[in-house]
Amino acid sequence: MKHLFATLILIAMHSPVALAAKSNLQPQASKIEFEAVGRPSMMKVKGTGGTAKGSLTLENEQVVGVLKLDLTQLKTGIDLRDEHMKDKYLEVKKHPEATLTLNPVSVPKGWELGQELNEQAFTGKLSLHGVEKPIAGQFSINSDKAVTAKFEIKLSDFKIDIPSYLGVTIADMVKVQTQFVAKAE
Amino acid sequence: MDRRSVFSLILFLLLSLGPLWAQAYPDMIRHNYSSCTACHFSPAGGGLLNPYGRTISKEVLSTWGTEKEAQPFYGVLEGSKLNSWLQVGGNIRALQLHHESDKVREGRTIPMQAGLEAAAQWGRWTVSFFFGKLNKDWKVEPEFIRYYTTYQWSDEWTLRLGRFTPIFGLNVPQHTLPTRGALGFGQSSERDSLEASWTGEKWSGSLTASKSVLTKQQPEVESGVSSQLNYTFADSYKFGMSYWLGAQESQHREVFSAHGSLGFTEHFYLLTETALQYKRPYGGKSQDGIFHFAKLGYEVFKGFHAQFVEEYSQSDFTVENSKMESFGPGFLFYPRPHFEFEFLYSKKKIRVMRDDFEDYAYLLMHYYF
Repeated sequence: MKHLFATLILIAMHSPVALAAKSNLQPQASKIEFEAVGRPSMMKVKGTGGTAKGSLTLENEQVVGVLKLDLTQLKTGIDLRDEHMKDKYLEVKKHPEATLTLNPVSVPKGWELGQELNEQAFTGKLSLHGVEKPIAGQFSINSDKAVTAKFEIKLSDFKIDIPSYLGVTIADMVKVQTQFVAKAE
Repeated sequence: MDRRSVFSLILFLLLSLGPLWAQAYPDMIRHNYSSCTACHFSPAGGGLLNPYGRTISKEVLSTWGTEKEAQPFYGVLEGSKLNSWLQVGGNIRALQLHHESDKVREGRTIPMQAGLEAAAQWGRWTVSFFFGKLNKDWKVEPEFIRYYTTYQWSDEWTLRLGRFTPIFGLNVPQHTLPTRGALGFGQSSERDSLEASWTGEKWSGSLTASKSVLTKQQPEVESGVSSQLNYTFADSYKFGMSYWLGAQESQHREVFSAHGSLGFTEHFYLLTETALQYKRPYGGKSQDGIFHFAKLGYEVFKGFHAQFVEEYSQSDFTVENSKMESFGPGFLFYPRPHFEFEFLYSKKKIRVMRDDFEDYAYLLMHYYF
């Protein structure tokens, strides 16, 4: 268990962002989660934590931005697993942050923060564990300005060893989800 | 039936279930452990912990402890070649029971279990057994209580063959609960069985064919098939249904059961099961009944749980005296790896005995290595 989940989180950096012109991200409002499956018992490993810094900008019906996620604060609920995840797999002493750079994401013409936006695709680049790879996912925004972004990463793409501990091995694919309230500034 | 007889019956049941009172913790769903095999060799849960389970016993279950302390023989074999394929453990268990009413006050220390357990793994194969039967005079008989071999066909599929209790309902440690002992899954319930189980991320299930073993307590063989289907959602809520069809020379029976392991938070959980049994004696009167329990638990601090347990059963809807009702608070305490204590105080009304509630309490003491 104690292994991998951290990775996922990284991705989550999408989080706290403001979808208005040059808005600063609000880390306290964010929630980042990742989920991995351990085999053969199909055990779920879920993690959360981390803070994000960065900004998103909405301009000309397009959202762009860069987010940085502090990986040193990831938690999975079990201390030993957290230790393995950070020291052995994510190596947070060498790579304390992950960076998500969004490619321009188009939003419908006339859309404003506070209006619902469902299942929009996005792409970007994720820098994690010293490796940068393209990623793709989906995000939704509700009328309360709450943003949910989901995507998956493959640990091996980022040269992260597949976590394995005492007979339980984590699957290579990890789901990441981040939620935050977008505040326009 | 007089009071002393009923107390003797309860003692007998507790004594008999000793070897089956293997630790299984379905409440681990609160930590997203929906499958028993994460921590146990047995697909049904309980019994010998695998290496991962031993680590979890320290990391998640116990108040105090060290990583090495949780390992077999306190880590003496750590790193050895033997330890990589052979896991050896054992159990010593005893229970202090107290019964009190306006007319009787009695108590007894009950020997429950003392034996060795081992599991050897070669690739996808595992062979496991439990050896030793503790008698009420504290003597251990050299007897294999449980043994089986499993084949891990894939990450999802497992086949098991041997003598063990088939998967049915919720495998809670307290085998005196109505859904365990009263339905034949407590006292000496190991059977010669062949079982296939499947575990997915959300769905899991099993199919078992079994034949009971002749004993003094079970003088008639029952052949049976059983199945179980479980669904886990939101990672910490698991619901399941089980079906049992058993046939004996004198009768056949069907049991339908629904159960839930609900982890509301990492600390707050509910385990519950309700079963309906339809007994059809050949040439006799049908006997239909209900068996139910609910256990609400809260982990006050790591390793210490407050709990409230409620039980209800009526083995024959047409017989008022077949009712049993019980409720009461207690606690679970796992101070360090290898040690387990459980206390339960309950008000219990056994209608065949009397029409009002009596006081019962027990303290279970368990050491495993």
